[in-house]
Amino acid sequence: MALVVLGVLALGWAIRGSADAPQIARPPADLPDPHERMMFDSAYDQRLSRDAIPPIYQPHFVAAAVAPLQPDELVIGLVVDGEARAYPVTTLNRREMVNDVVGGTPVLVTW
Amino acid sequence: MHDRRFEGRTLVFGNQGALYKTAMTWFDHGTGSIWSQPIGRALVGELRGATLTQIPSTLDTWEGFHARHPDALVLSNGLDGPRLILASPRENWVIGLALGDAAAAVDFSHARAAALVQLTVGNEPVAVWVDSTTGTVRAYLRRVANRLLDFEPAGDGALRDRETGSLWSAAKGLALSGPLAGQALSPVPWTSAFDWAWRDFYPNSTFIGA
Repeated sequence: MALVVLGVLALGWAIRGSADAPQIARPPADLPDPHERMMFDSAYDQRLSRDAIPPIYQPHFVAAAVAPLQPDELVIGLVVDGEARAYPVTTLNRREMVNDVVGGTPVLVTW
Repeated sequence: MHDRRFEGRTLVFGNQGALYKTAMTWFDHGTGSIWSQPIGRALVGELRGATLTQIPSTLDTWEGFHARHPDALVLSNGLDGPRLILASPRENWVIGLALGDAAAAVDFSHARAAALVQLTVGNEPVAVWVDSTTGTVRAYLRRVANRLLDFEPAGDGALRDRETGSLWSAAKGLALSGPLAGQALSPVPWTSAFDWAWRDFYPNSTFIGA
């Protein structure tokens, strides 16, 4: 899922041309072993700048009873210590990441 | 899904905007280390080598999840305004299972058509169930009280184990009737992934239904 969103956004930037290309952060060069560094570089492909697809850092919630979801739409479900959360896939397709706390456990939801 | 705690600190994650082996990467705001999603591990940076604990999750229709968890809270960011609702996951989409050093991937379309796929990941017996109409996904360990179970679909969201004939709710992982009534299956963490990305991370992975 993440791959597709990334691809679409990258294409958008490519079409806009290089004049207003975003500054893209390179990873820190902290792999001392040259071979490991080479292996990492060959597999690593920076497409966008950090948080160009904005994660959800401050999640908000509504009670299930009043949630405006379609019966047949998909949700990712988490249950931690008896506390249940639903994350609509439609939202995750656009935001990809949610930093949340469920049942007292800090969780990262990704798609 | 992962626990954000590592060695006493709670990490906050952002989107690195890069692909590593064609899969998503994150950065943590504390150290800027770069993490790979399918393995939940920091690749470079101060936290290099750190691995987050995976948390079991489910994929359900809202109707099904709501019925089981009427008290659930629903993420509401972005719920106001127009939404393009995707009813189904995509092509080339696998249910990825990594347990210990072993990995397996079950093709989603295959699992959906078959309803039930039983496999062994390393030494662990696993059952993957997909509701053919809704696309709901479950993954369970097929071991209860030191007994290995072999399931067959019993229709209407139910599974039957061949060892005792007990009838199980596939969505809940609970034995509803029969000798094992009241017993629960342990959920197994799984990851949604494109098949090529899964193969890159787990070259020794078995592929079922691909």
